[in-house]
Order: sequence, then structure tokens, then C-alpha cells
Amino acid sequence: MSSLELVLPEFKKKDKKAVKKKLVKEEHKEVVAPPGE
Amino acid sequence: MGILRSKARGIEYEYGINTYPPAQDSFGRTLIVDAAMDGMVKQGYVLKVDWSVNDEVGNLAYERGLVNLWLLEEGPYEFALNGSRIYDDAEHYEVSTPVYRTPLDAVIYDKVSEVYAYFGTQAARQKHGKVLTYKNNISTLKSASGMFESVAWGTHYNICLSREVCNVDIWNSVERALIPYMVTRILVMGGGEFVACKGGMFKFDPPHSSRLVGEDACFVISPRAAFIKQFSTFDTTLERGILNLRDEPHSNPSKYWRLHDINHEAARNEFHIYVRDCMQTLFLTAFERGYFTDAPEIANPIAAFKSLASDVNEMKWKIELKDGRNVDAVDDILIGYYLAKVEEMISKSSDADDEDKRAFSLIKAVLNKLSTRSIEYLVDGLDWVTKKVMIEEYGGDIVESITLCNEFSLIDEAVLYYIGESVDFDAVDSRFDPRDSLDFVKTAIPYVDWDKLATWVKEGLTKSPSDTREYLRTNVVKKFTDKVTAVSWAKVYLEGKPLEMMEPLAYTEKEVKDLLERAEKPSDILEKLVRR
Repeated sequence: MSSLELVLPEFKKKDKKAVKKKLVKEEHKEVVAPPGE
Repeated sequence: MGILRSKARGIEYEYGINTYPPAQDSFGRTLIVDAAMDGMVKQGYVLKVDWSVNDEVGNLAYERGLVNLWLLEEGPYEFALNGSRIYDDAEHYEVSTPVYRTPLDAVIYDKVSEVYAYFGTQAARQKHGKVLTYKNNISTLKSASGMFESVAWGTHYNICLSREVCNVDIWNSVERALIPYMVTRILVMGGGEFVACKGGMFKFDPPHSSRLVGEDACFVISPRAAFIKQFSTFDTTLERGILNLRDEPHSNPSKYWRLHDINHEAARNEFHIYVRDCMQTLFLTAFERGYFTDAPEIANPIAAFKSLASDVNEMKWKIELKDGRNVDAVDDILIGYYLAKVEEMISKSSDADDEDKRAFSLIKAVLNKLSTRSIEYLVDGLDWVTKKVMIEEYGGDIVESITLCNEFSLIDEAVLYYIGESVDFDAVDSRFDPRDSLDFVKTAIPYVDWDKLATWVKEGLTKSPSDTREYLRTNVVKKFTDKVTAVSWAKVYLEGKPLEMMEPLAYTEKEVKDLLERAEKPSDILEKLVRR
């Protein structure tokens, strides 16, 4: 452990992500926006 | 003061907004974005003061042209109560945050921007029916011909650096120091999205356009990388560079260069946003202090950028250097070079504090997980990892997977969770669940009281950070609204006279609260404030 490391972060292992059971919706199939910024 | 707190920064977020079914024409989309802007004025989050376009010196012709395209009921008004600028940028609903100086404020004003986007969407719905808003930077569609097409828009990070080390006259040294970092940082900061591709390659069609076309769509760590054409450019849309050359400091021009980093990506997870701000600020400060003069030189940075972004399954993450070595992007570049230099900087700097050391630990911990490719520890922490696992878990085809990413980016009622309102998560469409994200960040960053986030975000809707110039800028405008002729990032024009705030980290609550409270008229401020 480096002298700089005051706190060692903890990460939880997740082999899977809880994904909503419902199906994706047609209305979110396309994000229609132009290029540019 | 600490290193992290010594740097002024902020982010420009562009939200994709449209009706459903979507308006395909420019006129129709402008009406929708502008209805959202009008709504923010009516709801009182945007004040009825003019934005001083003439102060947008780095992009003046474009900015002047923009205003002429808007279809607003009144105004244009763009200045939000918390110092954000909310406007229509090329048919995107843009929220540029106020200047902040801590990673926590980076998270707070990010989430405030999401709530602003939701409020704007609700207003647009009153006029245009079903309106949908997404926090992403890419549109990937399957055309009638069966080909996929992708176009991009921006999330831009800005930080004030010393003009002595960052300016066009010595841009070669800026490229030398930063390009390897900008290429490899995507392993932490990538947004994770689908991009049109063919055989894993990205093709612009027409060749001089910014549109990617391919018979397939690939999930990539960084969609942004696919759109990069050059090392450094002034342009942000057609000829996008790894670095952007826009010279527009919005601060003392002889002292500062605002690095306009156009390759940030939309993110939802609080942890992602927090660690990204820590990493950017510490790494770019190390650059400013001269620690990156001998950075590893990538043989072909643009090809490496795209190749690294695409290496999402095997995760080899190899980079060929100019000296012929084939190195690991995490072990040899991010940890072995850049983080080691940041460690040296913190060790030697008398201004480094515990917040900087905790940030260093955090970055190191993330990079260590990436070093061993243990991305299962970063689900609900980093966006690209979260989306990758979500897509695999859902198990759909490409179009369903694109839709899944869109739903992750969707700004709907779920964002109200960030201002303490109860949300029926089974009823919303957003696949991003703030409860999962907060659960991750509470464990990973325990020294922040995340239970207060809703209180802070709610405050952030109407208040700027108190420890930057935004305190004076917003409070002067609020106190003397009817005397304000115009406002910009570094100036408030009071009865036509500019109150200049050329130091982004000055004019704080601590410095000017008494003066502000005593002032009865604009001249009390203009005459008494010591200009810096």
C-alpha cells in the first residue's frame, strides 16, 4: 500500500446485473438527433 | 487548499431530445428543444436575462448563427439560477454546468443537469405530446436498407490550465504529453454504446462526413473514439481531434487556457462521474506541473484509439508504441506512466491534501481492477462495464441491445429520485437504476455522505457552488435582475457596465458575501469589488 493511500476502496463483485424483466420498448429503438456539438 | 480544489472545471452536456414518433426535420426538432428552453423560463429555473453572445469569442460566428435559428416564445434566455447555461445547440438540449472545484460537485451538478433535462422534457410534452430525452452522445439507427448509421454529439469537459504550458505555440508538447492519456483513459471513462461498423472497422460515409455507416453495429467501450479523425483540430463536428484547439478561456486570457476536451462521454453512474473528475483533474494538473514530458509515444494514436475502444470482449488492451514495444494500456501507460507521475506529484507537492490522496487511491483501485480485467467489480460503477453486463444479461439481438442502451440513457421520472421524490421504478422505462448506482458508490467512496445527495441536488437546482466565481455571478444576477443587461461565463453587465470575474475560483461566498448583502445598487458592487 502506497503512503498516499489513506483509504482502500472496496468494490463488490457482481457476476450479473439485475436487469428489468420487461422487454425493451419500440419507442426507444431510435434516438433521432442530428450530429453536431 | 488541495490540488483537486485548485482547479476550475465544468462540463457541457448535450441531451438528445425528440418526439415519438420522432421529428425527422430540423425545424420540427428545433421547436421541441426550444419548447424545453421556454419551459425552463416559465418554471423559473432560467432567469429573464440576455446571454452575451459577443463574449463567446472562441466560437463567435457559430454562436451568433445559433441564436438566429431558435424558435422561442421569448428571449432567448439561457442563464439558470445555479449558473448553468441552458440552450439549443444544434438541436440538442444543452446544459453547461457552473464552474466547480470538487468531484462531489461534479456529481451534484451532473445530476442537476439530468433533472433540468427532465423538467425541460416535461415542458416540451405540454406542446408536442410524447417527448423523449436521452443522455447519450450517439444515435445508431438501422436504415431501411438494413445498414446501420451512427452520428455523434458532445459531452465536453473544460478545465482552466496555465497558458504557459497549454497554448497553440507549444501544442506539440501538449500532444506529446496528453494524447496517450486521452486514448487510454477510455477504459475508465468510456460511455459504452453501439456504433455502426463493418468487420470491426469504422467507415465514414460519405468519406468527408461525420456519419459512420456499416452493415453491423458493434458495442464499444468508447463510442466517441470511433468518430476521431485527427490529433488536434479546432472543429468539433466534422474533423474531430483527440485534442481540441479552441482558445476561449472565459477567464484571464493572459493567464489561462481553458482546455476544451470534446471527447468526454455521457455517463449516469455517480461513481463514474466522481472518479472521472478525480482522474481528469489530477492527471491534467500533473501535466500542467510538467510531469508528463516523456510520456510513452503511441505509434498510431488514432488507430489505437479505435482499436482499444473496440476491444470490449477479449480485453487485450494492447498498444503499439513508436519504439516498437507492444504494451498494456493499463499496466504500462495508465498505471506505469501516468499514475506513477501523479503519485510523484502528490508526494512532492506541499499543497496536496487528504482529498487528493483519497482520489489517488480511488483511481489506483479502479486501474488495478482493470489491470486484472476484473470488470465484474465495476458493474454499476463504470458506465461501459454496466452496459456491457446489462446487454449480456438481457440476451437480445443487436437492435434490442441498442434499444437497451437507449433505455439506460433515458431521462424519465427516475431522475426525480435524485431530488428525494419517490419513484415507482417498475413503472419507469429507464434501465439506469439510481439505487444500484448509489449502492455501488456508497461502498466504494464511503467518506462521502451519499445519503445527502438528494438534498444537495435539490439545492443545486437553484444554487451555484459557493466556492467559485459562480457565487458572485449568480447572486448578482438574482439580486439585480432588472439591472442586468447581459451575462456570460466571466461577466455580468450591470446597466451596461461589465462586472468582470476573470478568476474562476475567486469571488466566492467567503470573499464577497458581505459586500453582496450590503450592496443596494449595482454601482456598489462595481465600485467596491477589487478586480483581479
